Amino acid sequence: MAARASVVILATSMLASSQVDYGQSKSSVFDLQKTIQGIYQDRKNAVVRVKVATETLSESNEPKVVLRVFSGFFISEKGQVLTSYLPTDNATRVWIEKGGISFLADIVGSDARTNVALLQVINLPDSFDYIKLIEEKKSPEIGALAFSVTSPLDFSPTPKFGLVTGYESHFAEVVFPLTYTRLSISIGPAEGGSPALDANNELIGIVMATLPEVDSSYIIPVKALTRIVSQLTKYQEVKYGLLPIDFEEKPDTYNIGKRVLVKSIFPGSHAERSGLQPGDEILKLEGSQIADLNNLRDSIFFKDPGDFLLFTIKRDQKELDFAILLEPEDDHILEGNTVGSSKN
Amino acid sequence: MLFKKRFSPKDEERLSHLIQLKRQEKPDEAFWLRFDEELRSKQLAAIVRSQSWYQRVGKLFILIARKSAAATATASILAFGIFTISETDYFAGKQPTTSPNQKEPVHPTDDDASAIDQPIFVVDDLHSQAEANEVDFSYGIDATPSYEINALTKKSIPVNYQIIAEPKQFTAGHINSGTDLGAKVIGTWNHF
Repeated sequence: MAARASVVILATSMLASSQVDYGQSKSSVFDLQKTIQGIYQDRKNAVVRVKVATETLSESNEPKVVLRVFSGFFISEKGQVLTSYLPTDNATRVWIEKGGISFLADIVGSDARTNVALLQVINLPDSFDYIKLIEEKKSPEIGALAFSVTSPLDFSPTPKFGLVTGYESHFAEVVFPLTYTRLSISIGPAEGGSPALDANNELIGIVMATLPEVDSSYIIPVKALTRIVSQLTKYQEVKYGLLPIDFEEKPDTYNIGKRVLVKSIFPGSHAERSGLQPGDEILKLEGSQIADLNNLRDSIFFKDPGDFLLFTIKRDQKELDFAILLEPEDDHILEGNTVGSSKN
Repeated sequence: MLFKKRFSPKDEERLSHLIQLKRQEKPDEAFWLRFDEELRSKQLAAIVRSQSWYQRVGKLFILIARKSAAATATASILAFGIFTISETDYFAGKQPTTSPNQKEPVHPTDDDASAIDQPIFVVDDLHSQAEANEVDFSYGIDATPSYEINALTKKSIPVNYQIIAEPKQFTAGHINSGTDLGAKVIGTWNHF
């Protein structure tokens, strides 16, 4: 719906403009159409349908099999496929479908927090394309065109397009481990795990969730995706670090911006013993300016558990440095809403 | 008129003392370091300049090729022309079935292996390119497919969602209601 609305708005604004004559605007719309068609033709051979059969118990305690369907796409010539999170413990059979043919796959690793799974296709198709992850790929600016090729329901690969509409690291009270890119592309059942591309036909992320109330979706940016894939390959999971600190964002009326403050610290934690106090303003993390909570969460996401993070804070007009340990999540049992990267 | 200076014994003593001092004079450490470096770089330059026999043979071939470039080009064009003509349908006695501009989809047959599309990418041959490709992996699974998508919606966020902040799995309510399959359900299709 949003995609259609975008086309209508784009076309209407072009036609309504007195500066541009009808012929010019018509050709611009056709250029856009050609771009979408080009991206679709170029990428449809990389998109697959992912199916996972899971054994579970029915209400009457009888074993039953549940068949779940997602989208996915090849990311390497070795046959690695990225898709939505799949449970690794009780999945009995995983396969991909391409051109109506099934190919058995293994789950390499899966991460529920970012909703990403990495598969290895065992019997590779005779021909397939793949979409390369470019780690250095910069996130597109808000307002840039975004494209996707999805595999909805049982349909063939399907093109979609919209705009990059925002960058958020939380949704209401739900805190993300990093900043997600919001697209005005409406995503429906079985379309999670689809690739999102920019006008240069380069990957900008993987669709990880839909926002049905605003006809939009969230994607995980490529830089983060590269780290996730690397960790899934190495450890079969993504390792997160925990900070026993709760941060908050407040408007900076003096500089017309935002300030990130320490809201609370878990009592008795090493962070509290270090001398960090609620109300301290976070200026830098590892020497990089922290302008908002998105910055802070991204900085923490790209650090390894076990690292010390050097915070530069401002207290009573003085700048102070604190080195805080990013604790491995495995060392903790999450209790209530006390510690966790989610609170950062 | 030639004038020859006569040295006094005192002058001669001074001169011999000076010669003695000059003899004892030695270059400092820096001089020897510079000397060593220059020597090494000269040796290296000499090695680099020296050419092996095959390099010399290569150069000879290049020289010959340059001299006979025109003759070689003519012979190549002639050979290519003969090859092209011999491969056309007309000279091979075949009747063309479509016009050159008309593309017709190729339907590979079992006995026409050359017509089958070649893989776009060369992949490691760790896994056999199996006949298993034709296997239906849904065989024996009679469950209704559940087409899923993670949804984030303000209406359906339970309180405990705030704690761990994982995007939870959403499944279509009528198929999978109450089953989280490893991830937690935050809503059903009816919520939207």
